[in-house]
Amino acid sequence: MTVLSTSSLAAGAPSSLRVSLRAPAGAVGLRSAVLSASGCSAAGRELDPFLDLGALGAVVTKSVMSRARSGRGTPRMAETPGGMLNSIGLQGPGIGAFVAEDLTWLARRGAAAVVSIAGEDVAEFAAVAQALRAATDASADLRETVVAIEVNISCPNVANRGLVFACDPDASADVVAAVREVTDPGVPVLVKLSPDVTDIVAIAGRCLAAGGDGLTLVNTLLGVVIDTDRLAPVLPRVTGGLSGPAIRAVAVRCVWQVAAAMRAEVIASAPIVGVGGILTGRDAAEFVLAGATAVQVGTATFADASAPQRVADELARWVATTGESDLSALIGRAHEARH
Amino acid sequence: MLAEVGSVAEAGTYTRIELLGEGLGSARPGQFVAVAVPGHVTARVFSVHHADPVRDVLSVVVAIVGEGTRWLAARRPGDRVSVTGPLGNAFDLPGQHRAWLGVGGGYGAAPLSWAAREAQRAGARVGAVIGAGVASRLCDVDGVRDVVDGSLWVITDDGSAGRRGRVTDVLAEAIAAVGGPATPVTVAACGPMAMLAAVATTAQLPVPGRAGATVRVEVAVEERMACGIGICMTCVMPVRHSDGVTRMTRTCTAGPVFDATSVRWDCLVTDGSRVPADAEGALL
Repeated sequence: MTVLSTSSLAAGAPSSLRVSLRAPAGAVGLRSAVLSASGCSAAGRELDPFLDLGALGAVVTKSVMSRARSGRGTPRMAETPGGMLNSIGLQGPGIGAFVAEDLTWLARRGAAAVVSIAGEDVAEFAAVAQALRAATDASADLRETVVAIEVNISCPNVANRGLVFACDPDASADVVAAVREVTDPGVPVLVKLSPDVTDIVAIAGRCLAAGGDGLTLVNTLLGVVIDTDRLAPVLPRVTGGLSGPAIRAVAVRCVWQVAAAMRAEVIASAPIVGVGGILTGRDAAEFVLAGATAVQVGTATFADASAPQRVADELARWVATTGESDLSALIGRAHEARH
Repeated sequence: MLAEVGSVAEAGTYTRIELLGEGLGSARPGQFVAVAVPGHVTARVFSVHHADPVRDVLSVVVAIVGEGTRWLAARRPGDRVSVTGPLGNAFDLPGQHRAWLGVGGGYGAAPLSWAAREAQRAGARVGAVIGAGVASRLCDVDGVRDVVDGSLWVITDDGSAGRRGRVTDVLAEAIAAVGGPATPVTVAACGPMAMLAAVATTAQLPVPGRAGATVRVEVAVEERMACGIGICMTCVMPVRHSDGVTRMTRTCTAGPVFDATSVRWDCLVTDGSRVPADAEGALL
């Protein structure tokens, strides 16, 4: 059984927000149910001047691949009503440099990390997870820092004409099984799903059956913005991932559908981490009531670097107004309501 | 941080806004601030026009280009605005050189009067070139003239103010005027990317009467960014690092000021940059 030692629990995290994820070897405690979101908090270090990293449930780091990657050209963003498109192209240092610099820094800082990994094929996902395993096996500090892996399956599968893994139940399951096999049994494997699918419950079920320990719902939706002066798409690669409050209702719907399927025992039961357009504690509460055990604050961080911490404080105040002493008691509560 | 809006002044087609708040007055020329706009998920970033550490205040020049900038320009004294900063690095003033020339295009000229005064205080002989498409888009000409006196070249594309042409048309003349026959010159340029590229190239052409005298160019770049603090990865540009390797580099945390020789000007495209094939981790 792997549980964070109480000494690593930051004083800044409201105690009512402590929740647990699950790994094959047992429960993994999170110091807070509010995490940053992958791609919206870089490697964590950049946010250090603006909030107490140690009080977050975890820093969810930007998806890392096997080797350094430049990402795409610019412009990489376009604002939309209530949100934005991004087209970064998975820029990153590669798993080796990530471990040596970014993860090591987070460990020294006393922050918890959820390491987001990506790959162009099943073998690359496995290789990145294996490299992370080797690093955490070799260092107790790194081992204590990594509270979960998040598998970013919303990237193109080069072995299948670039179709994103997340839209293909077989490919998604293959990635999850490969990552789970090489990952420390004490570390939960979260699978981050795309909402751009016909039946998210079916994909969720396959990912859990393949060994996923939890689900992160949801990744960005695909969008296009066109510049009517230049008569051309704003982004050079045309499409980008839509994030922000514009997608919140879609994300809450996905959490709701998957949680409902778990409650009905249509698919295996597992913790859900909700993400999509959370700006406030009230927004986070919607995800919890729909069935999320924890939440991630992403795009809100761009205009307010302290947003993850502020959302945690607001969420804790909301918990207090419900009369419950712990957030855990409120997970999925809206499914019990009858109109 | 919630900053208080101080004075708000119309400045031609631009609006100059003071922001008061802890630490804002510590800004240096070249640095920028990020302003949150209600109802929008991305921050708006502005080069600092002037900062005063005694009053802990800075000012920015706002050009209205969309809803966010229109909102900011409509703020009134006493309003509260969420501001992050000062962010990024600053110009090297007066640089290793005793002669300094500021070059600004459009609202890019915003930090020039302040930067020129700082360079002058540090002992440099200073001058400035200010350009814009039309007279109404010129920024802070009077403020710059107060500092550089006669060493000012104003130029517009259509000749509606100053000379007709581009800032590069007068660059050699301005370099010769502030640097004389032998003094190395630091050129600090801010404005649209295409102008910065042209300045970086033109400033290295031989200037009659200055055989062997060097020119170093610093550029303050403007890339589309969502956060200003290094987490969104949208504001990158290909930059050659000291190890010789080109990387897609965040202009908010590694810049906005770069030595012009490190910028891969060959990769500029309409509205952005492409990834050079020799960049680290380039996608093929």
